[in-house]
Amino acid sequence: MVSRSGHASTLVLALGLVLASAPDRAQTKPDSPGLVDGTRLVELVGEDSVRLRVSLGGSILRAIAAGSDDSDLQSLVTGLESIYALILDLGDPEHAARARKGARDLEAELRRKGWEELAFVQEEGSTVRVLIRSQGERVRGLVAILIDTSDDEPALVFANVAGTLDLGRLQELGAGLNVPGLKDLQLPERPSPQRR
Amino acid sequence: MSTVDRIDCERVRAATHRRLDGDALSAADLALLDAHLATCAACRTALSELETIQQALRAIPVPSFPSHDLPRVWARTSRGTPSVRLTSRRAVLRVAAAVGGLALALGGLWWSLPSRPEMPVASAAEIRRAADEARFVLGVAANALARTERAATDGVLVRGVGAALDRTSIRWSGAAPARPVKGGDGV
Repeated sequence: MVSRSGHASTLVLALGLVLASAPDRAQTKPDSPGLVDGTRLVELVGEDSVRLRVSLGGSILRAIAAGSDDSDLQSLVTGLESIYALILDLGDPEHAARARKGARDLEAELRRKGWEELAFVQEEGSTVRVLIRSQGERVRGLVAILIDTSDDEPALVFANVAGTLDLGRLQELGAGLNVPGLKDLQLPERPSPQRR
Repeated sequence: MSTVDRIDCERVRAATHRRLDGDALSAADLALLDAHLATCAACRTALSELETIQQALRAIPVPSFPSHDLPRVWARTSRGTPSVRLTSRRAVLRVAAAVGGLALALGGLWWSLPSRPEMPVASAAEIRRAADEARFVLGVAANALARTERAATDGVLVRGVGAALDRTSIRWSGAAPARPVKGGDGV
C-alpha cells in the first residue's frame, strides 16, 4: 500500500518531469487546429515515392521571423506554427489512383472536422484542392493538395500551413515568392527531403 | 551400559565417521573399532545406517553445470562490492521526491527569470535554408490559390457570364444608343 507521502512524492516527480519537458511541447503545438498530418499520403504510396518533404516547426519559424533578411517572408511566417510540404512521385498508375482516393478521403475528413473547401479545380489531368480552417475572422490553417498526372512526371503536392495566416497577404506576395506552376517545379533543385 | 562402555561407543562412532569419510585411522583406533563392533550391537546398527545413507547419497546423480553460467551464478551468490541499494519502495519514493523537488525548483527558477534567454535554435545557415523551404511551401500555397482564382475567373466569367452575355445585349439608359454586345442580336 502506498502511503500519502508516497502519492505526494510521485506527484512531485511527475510535475517536475512535465515542467522539464514544457519548452519542447510549446514549440510543436500538436493541438493546433490548422495542423494536418500528411504522412498518411506517404503510407498510400510508400516512402520510396517521396521526392521532397519539408517540415518546419514553431521554433525554426520564429527564427525565420526574427532572423531572415526577407521582410516579406518575415511578415508571412509571423504567427505561423508549422509549415509542411510533401511531393510524391505518382509514376506508378496504381500509386496515382491511391493518391487520388487518399486526397478525396483527406478532404472529406477535413470537411467533417470543420475545414472549408475554398476551391476545387479539375482541368487537363490535374486537380487542385484548397481548404482552410477558420476561427472567427482568422484563418488558422490552409491545406493545398495538387495532383498532376498530365505530363511525364506525375506528382502529388501536399502543403499545410498552420497558424494565423493572412490569405490576402499570401496571394499578394505569391508572385514575389518566385514559385512556378506545378508543371514547372524544378524538383531536383529544391531542398532535399528532410524533417526538422 | 556402563560409563566406560558409553565412552567407548562415542569414540567408536567418531572413528566410524572418520573412516566413512575416508580418513586414515591409526592401527590402535582400527583395533579398538573392530573389537568394539564385535561386541556392541548398537554401534553395528549405527554403522549400518551410516553406510546406507552414504550409499543413498552417492546414488543421487550430479547434474552437469554449464560453464558459461558460472559468472552469472557467481554474481548472484557473491557479495560483491558494497554499494547503496534501494531495497524498499519507501526509499525509491524518497529519491523520486528529491529528484522531483529539484526539477521543480530548477523549473521555477527558470520561469521566474526576468527575461529568459532565447535558446539558440538554429544557425544563420540553417535559418537561410529554412527560409528557402518556407518560401517554397508558401509559394506552393500561393500558387494553388492563384490557380483556383484563375479557374474561377475563367470558368465563371468567361464560360458562364461571357456566354450569357454573348446571347444578350445591354441597353444603355439616357442618351447613349443601344450598343450591341459581341455576338448579340442587337435587340
